[in-house]
Amino acid sequence: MADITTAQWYPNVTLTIVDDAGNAAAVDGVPVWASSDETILVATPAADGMSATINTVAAGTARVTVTADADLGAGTVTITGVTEDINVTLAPSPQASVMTLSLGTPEDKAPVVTPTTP
Amino acid sequence: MADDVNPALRAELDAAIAVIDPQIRGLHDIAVVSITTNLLIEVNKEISDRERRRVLLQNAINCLNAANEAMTALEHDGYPELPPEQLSSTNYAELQGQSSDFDAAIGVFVPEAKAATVSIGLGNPEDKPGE
Repeated sequence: MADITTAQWYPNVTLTIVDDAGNAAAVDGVPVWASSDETILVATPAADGMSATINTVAAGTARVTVTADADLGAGTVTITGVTEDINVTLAPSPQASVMTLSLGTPEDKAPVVTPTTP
Repeated sequence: MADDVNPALRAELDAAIAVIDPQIRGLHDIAVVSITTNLLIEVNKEISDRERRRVLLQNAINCLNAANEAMTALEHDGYPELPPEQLSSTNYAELQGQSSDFDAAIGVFVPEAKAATVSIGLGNPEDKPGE
């Protein structure tokens, strides 16, 4: 399981596509990304579908799935990759650590007027 | 002559015609005697329905006959055997040479690697910009 807070994201999520021998392989078309729960995680793929960002929305657990067509011909052979569970926890609220007092500009006191007896 | 391609279906179709033919004849007989107009309308409707069915039955039988003729023609052609043709050694050697060239040409290519696995690399989480 991968842990992340709501104040964080995955800015550089990448795909690795290989054949049975472990060699890099191509797929037909643009891989399709999906989140198992978009109220928790949102995946935003690049135009070519080979990378994405995953943003956190709220606390919870979700996964991101990628499907692609392995058949380079006219047919369709779907292969799927899925992340481990991504556990999103609520980021702690900012805590006060410094208090600054501002004195302002000193000014002359108002003159004291003493009343006289006529 | 080849065996009937579907003797059971032919028997079923023949039986249906055997039932419908006397019905059609009888309905035509009724239509020419003195009956009311309303009854004549009903009789003519039944004649029309049964004559249409008779045509369709006959069409099906004609198709069975055509299939039998086609199977007979196939058998006259030697079906199902289709033995390989003998070729002179010169012609056969030429074909083998062509085959070798094809194999050599195919060897120029390798099949494209077919994707089997997709893995997702999350990378490290980072603070969101502005957080």
